[in-house]
Amino acid sequence: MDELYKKNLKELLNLLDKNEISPEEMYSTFLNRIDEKEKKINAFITKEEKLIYNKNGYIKGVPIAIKDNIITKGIKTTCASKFLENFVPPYDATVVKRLKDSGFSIIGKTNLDEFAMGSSTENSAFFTTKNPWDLERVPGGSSGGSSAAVASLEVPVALGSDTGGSVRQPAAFCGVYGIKATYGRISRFGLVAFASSLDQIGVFARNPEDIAIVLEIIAGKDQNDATSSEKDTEKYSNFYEINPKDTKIAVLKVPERSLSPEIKSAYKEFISFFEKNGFILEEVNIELWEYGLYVYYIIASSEASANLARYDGVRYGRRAKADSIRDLYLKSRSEGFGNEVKRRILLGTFSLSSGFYDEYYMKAVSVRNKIAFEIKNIFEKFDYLILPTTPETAFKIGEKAEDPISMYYSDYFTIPPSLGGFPAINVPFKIGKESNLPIGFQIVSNYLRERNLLSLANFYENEIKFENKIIRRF
Amino acid sequence: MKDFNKIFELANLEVSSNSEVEKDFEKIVNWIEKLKEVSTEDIKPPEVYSNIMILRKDTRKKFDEKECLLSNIPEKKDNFFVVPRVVKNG
Repeated sequence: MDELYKKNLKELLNLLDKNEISPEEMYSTFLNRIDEKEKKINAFITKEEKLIYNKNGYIKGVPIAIKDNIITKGIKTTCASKFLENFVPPYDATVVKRLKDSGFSIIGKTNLDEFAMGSSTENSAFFTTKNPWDLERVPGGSSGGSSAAVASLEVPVALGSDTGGSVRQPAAFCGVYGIKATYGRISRFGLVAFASSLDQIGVFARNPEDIAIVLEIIAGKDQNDATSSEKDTEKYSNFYEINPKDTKIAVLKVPERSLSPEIKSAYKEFISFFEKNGFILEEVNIELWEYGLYVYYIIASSEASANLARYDGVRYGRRAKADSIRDLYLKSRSEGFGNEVKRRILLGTFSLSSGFYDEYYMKAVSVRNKIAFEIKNIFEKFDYLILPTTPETAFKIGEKAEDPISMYYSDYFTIPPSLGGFPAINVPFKIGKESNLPIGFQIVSNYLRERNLLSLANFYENEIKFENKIIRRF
Repeated sequence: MKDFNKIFELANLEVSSNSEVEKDFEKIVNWIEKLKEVSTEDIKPPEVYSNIMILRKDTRKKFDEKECLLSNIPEKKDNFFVVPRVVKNG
């Protein structure tokens, strides 16, 4: 069948059900597509040439791409780090196991910023992924490989991980949907740990329905992740009917200077989309929003410094030549980690060190809780919160690489929902007239309201039809 | 002035390996100082973190992928990791 790669997950499932296509034909179409697009995009670190899937599952072999910090049994998992360049996991992450059981095939592992630390994939130890809309620009990060692969029609769906925006920001830069569910909704067993109180696995697709189908499969309690929620999951693809007149949406008041002119005017249009459709809107202010960045970098780095202590060169991963055990640790780590990873380990070690712990780490924990409460209060009165996903559209490769702090501002809008553990989705809105790049916005909801979140996103996509724009472009 | 060498040592990272990292690190530490503007009293933890960390029973499970696990060890002898000598000669 012609151009099978343009089909989304739901369409592929329909074709497979009616036996109009075979899993083998589908898989080889996607492999060809990947071969063609990868010459320019570089979304994949590892590609799986062979179709392997559970024939009893209802997904019937549809390919999915997995961010390379989620472990896959027998398939190299590198975290885009020299340290784990040759690491082959002996078991599957829970999400991977659930995807495989349902019939998904793993077609490859996607690029990221080393250990998911970054906003552009430029911190990958191997290569930088290109933004499909403009090859001189970054796809966002850290899950930039997954977002680029979905946007360029290399795969219908992909998994990423989101600690402070690493699914939503690349989704915005690449013009696709990307969800970060409630903290605890999806098991992290087998997600290589970065910041354990924030890390959450997320899903990319070109429409909310496909996201819902994947979320249904991967969400839910897992005995191997003590932080996974015991609350029941829902049939997320069974959308609620949206009645705008009964739906209250909080609109985040945003400091003018925090947005590029293009996104500033797009935000107005985005808000008026909901106005025109009859939703009840009210502007809200979150006083401590701007402090989210500092809180995040202290907390995430502190947790990272502890989580990454395991990379010592003894049991797996890179090992430097050394005469003493102390030198073995020092050299293996110093050679194996890239600059951003080192910066964060240092910042975390500093924040947790004796004499600075109260001043930095505990202070950050307190402010984090204050921000979480401010957001929670909004959901006492509103069903959703809408806001920008990024301050600007995708930036040029190299533009921020020399200035880590300017890179950190890329997560200005995605961090506070993460600090509170709230579910949030990026919805693509339009192609900017000046930049010719996608612009996306966030919808956030209360804890465990993923079904509501996706229902509203689905209502939105039915009107906006952004998926058609992607298909026409690629 | 903070003792940055000490932090490198605690983090098991070599100071000399990259002066760029050192420079940026100092900048970032100054950047996060801004957090001190916020007063922090009467703080409660976010709701999403209550009722989590439910521990399961600590039971033994069979693990079938021993070979794969061992194959990731950079240097081994039989089923043991090899590391530089830790104990000093008599």
